[in-house]
Amino acid sequence: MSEAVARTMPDTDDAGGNGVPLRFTGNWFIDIGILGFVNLMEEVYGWSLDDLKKKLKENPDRVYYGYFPFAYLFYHSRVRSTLKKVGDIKKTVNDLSDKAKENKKKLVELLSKRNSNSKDSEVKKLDRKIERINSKIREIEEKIWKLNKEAGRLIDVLENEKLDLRNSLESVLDDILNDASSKFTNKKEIIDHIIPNFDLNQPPDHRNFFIYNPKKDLFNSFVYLFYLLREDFDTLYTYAAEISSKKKREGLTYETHPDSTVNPFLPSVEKFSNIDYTLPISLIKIKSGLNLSIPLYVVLLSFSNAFNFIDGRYISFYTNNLDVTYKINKRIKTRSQRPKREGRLLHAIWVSAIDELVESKARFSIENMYIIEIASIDKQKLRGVEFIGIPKFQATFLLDDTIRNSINTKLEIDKKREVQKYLIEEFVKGQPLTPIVIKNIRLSLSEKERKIKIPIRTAITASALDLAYTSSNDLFSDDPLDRNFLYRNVEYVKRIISEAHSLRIAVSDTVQTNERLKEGLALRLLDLALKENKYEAINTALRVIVAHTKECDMAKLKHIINPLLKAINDNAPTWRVFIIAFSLGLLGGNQNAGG
Amino acid sequence: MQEDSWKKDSKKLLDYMSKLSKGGNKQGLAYRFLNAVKSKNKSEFEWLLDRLLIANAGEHKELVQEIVRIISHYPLDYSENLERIGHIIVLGLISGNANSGGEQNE
Repeated sequence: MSEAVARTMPDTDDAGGNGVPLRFTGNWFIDIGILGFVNLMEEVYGWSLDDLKKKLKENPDRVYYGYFPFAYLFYHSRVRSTLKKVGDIKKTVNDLSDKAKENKKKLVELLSKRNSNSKDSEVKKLDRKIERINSKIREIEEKIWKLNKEAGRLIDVLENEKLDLRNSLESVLDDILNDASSKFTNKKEIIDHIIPNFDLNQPPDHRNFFIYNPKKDLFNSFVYLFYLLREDFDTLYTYAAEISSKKKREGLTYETHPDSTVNPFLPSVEKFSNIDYTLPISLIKIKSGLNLSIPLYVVLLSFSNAFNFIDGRYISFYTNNLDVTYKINKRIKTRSQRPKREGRLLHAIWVSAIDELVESKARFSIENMYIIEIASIDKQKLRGVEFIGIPKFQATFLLDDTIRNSINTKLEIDKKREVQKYLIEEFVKGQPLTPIVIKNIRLSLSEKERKIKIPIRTAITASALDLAYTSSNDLFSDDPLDRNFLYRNVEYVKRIISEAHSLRIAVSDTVQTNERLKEGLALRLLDLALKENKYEAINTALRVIVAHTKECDMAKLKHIINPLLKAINDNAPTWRVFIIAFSLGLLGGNQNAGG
Repeated sequence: MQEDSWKKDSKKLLDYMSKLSKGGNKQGLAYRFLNAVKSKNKSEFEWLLDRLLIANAGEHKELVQEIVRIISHYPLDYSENLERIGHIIVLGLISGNANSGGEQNE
């Protein structure tokens, strides 16, 4: 196993265990596979985690060697092909909806033209055009209706097939499994008819896996999977050699030493054939090393089922507890299926994850939460894989609703609209947020015609979080065992945010000069904040006050003087929060937060 | 520089500076202080400070003495001291210029 895969986390006993060995191991790669297994069984048989645990308690062999291989084969033939068809239909429906919208827009324009026109000939001409567009819209809507109906029908068919599979397995599975000693030859007829229209689609994370290359029929696929899962390698070889000359020649390879054939996270023997230490570890060693009681190939084959496709990426949330991880990912799946504005999906994910954690009162869990992201798997090559842990420090802030909501947004930072930064993600990764918000403010000022809202609340919160992050060691506690100091951090940051808002409002009310000059000064201050030039920034802010504050009373001035005094005195970058708030005050300070 | 004592001193300095009433055009003076700080011109800074303190020495003798006592703890040869003290002085001048109707600064 590669180093990344072998990375381990503290082992925890899963609360739902009840003696059934379905629990996380502490190795994220294996755990994600276990989650994938749970998801796959739920997708095909509709079993929740508790149902699955119950079934495993009753008879694990039935689940691992009977239900699982059929679920896997059903998923990679019927489910994936149906979902692909439905996906294509949805894409066409979206295109047609866009067309319908365009036509409706045209129709509104024509109707208003017609109403304002008094010439008979013109009106007739317009009427004809209106009629044409109306019939076009009707035609498109009819097509959309038919396509939606077809998508619904396909889903219904799939659901019926799932039900049939469940029912037929209920009655014949024991018979099938009892025939294992004669390699299922007596049950071939039954097995062949368990999945109608069986046609395998190779998943993107497998390559040259026996049953896909070339595609095997249902019977051979099942028998191969059965012996692979049972780890009965002698019978597996005899069987595979009978139907494949290649297997006969080469013998068992990845079956005994799992490699990138089944999962791109595992090393490839072909690529590093001459280096001994990169050779894959044997299945037996992996199982005994991790003390696994679940067949390893259940985990390896289910890996991709743990991920949800969201916002163009495959994402899975991982904590060290199976129940919590399962519930969070389920919530995410449900939320991500609801129609959402683009860019709000990630927001939904965070809401799901944090809701679940707060509801299950597992405040500790967020400290051990990881997000595993895969941008894409193209020809079994992984792209953009990220393993993001959520450190305790960031977790404490994310649990605060106000702070989380303020940074739960995507911000554009370049004119080409190509780069968008999702602040929570950056925060979790420990990246500074202030440069992102400053770049976004600059962008909204330079591209006024686009009317990008200045993210006031976000900007102030982001810079305050940077302050907390960069100075967490000096500001808050000397005692590493003081667990409450992080919660005091949150209070401190909130106080700074509130002072910054008062400063912003006071500046907005008291500084009187023309808008252009204010904008120039704000940009200058933001530049200085970005360059971390503390005293020049304070000097500039004081100049603004001296030069452009005509009349103001002490009450208002207090909200400017106190933060600036703090900015001068603090060694921590408190000044940056206040300078950003000062700039936002110059920019008006009355716009709403947003991205 | 002792951070704790500086924090206390800076508040006192701000308070005393805001109570000084003479010194000509306070806006102009604040500007000149800001320029001296920006260019790190210590002699210009000291000259401005002297002018301000001498102008107030008669009316606010004790305040001036206190200000001198505080500033003397922080050698202006260090640019950070110059910047901190200079900015506090300007803050004091600004708050001294405000309408006195509202609350008092802490």
